[in-house]
Amino acid sequence: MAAKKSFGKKKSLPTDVALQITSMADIFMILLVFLLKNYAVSMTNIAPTAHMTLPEVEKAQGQVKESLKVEIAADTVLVDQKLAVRLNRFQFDANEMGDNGVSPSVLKILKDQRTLMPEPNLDSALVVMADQKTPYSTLKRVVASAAQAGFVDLQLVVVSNE
Amino acid sequence: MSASVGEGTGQDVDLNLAPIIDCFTVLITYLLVTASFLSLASVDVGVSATGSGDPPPPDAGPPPYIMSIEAKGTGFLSIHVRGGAKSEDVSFEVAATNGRWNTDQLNQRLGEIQNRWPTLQEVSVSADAEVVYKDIVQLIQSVKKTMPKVFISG
Repeated sequence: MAAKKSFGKKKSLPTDVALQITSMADIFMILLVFLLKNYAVSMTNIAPTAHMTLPEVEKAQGQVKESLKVEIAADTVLVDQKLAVRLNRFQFDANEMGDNGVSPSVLKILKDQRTLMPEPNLDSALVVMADQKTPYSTLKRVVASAAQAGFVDLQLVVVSNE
Repeated sequence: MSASVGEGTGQDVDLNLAPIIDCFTVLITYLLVTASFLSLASVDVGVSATGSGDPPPPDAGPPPYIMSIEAKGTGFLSIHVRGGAKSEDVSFEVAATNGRWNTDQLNQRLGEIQNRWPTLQEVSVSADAEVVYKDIVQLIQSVKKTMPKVFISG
């Protein structure tokens, strides 16, 4: 089959091609505004340091306020991102079974943190981030230690399902 | 993008968008990497007193009513109300549904308790040692619908 021959006049292609970036700038502007609006402005770092899964709770609306943070994971308890005590699958060692149900190591580090606070050292708020599988016995020991150190207003951080 | 400047001069000035696009790209990349799309919230609780405090003065009047909820690992919930002039000690049980806590019936019971003792506004929650944190938080959130002030037994 013979190839069809075009006898039309050849169009000359433009040599100068300008990229139309105005629309791209528009898209970027919208993206930027969206991201800036959703960006957390708080100085509090509430992202968990330790490897953990926070519990999901429906319609939890309390706002996390800036205060001292305690994290309970399967293998550690962290206070203000510092190691307070090691756990063995959420369980405290035998030497951490102090009087009145407290953990001596957690109590000590919480008391140390209190001394670092500005005078008059009366802040009683504590942010608690615990793995969803933490047993009540472990939570109770950390809570008892916090109460003994003067932290009695707890904010349990959860993932809000709306 | 072009714009005309000067009156009647007919000068066409091209705005150079390339550096702006560069800035936008860097900013958007940074924001996307650092953004957290999880919606975190807090459930506020207090810590109920442990140990023995000072005894109340003799002329302090009748002891206040205290309510506590014990969450059993088997799915049962028991509510205790103590105190008052007659030193009442009343208990209620909320049976399990499919081995889980029945929070609807619990809230119904709490509503009845509030009608009977209107001064009761606080509740202390405790659980069996093996009950996991996720269930405790969900129970607390459910109790907060009726009783806004919840304490954890420390």
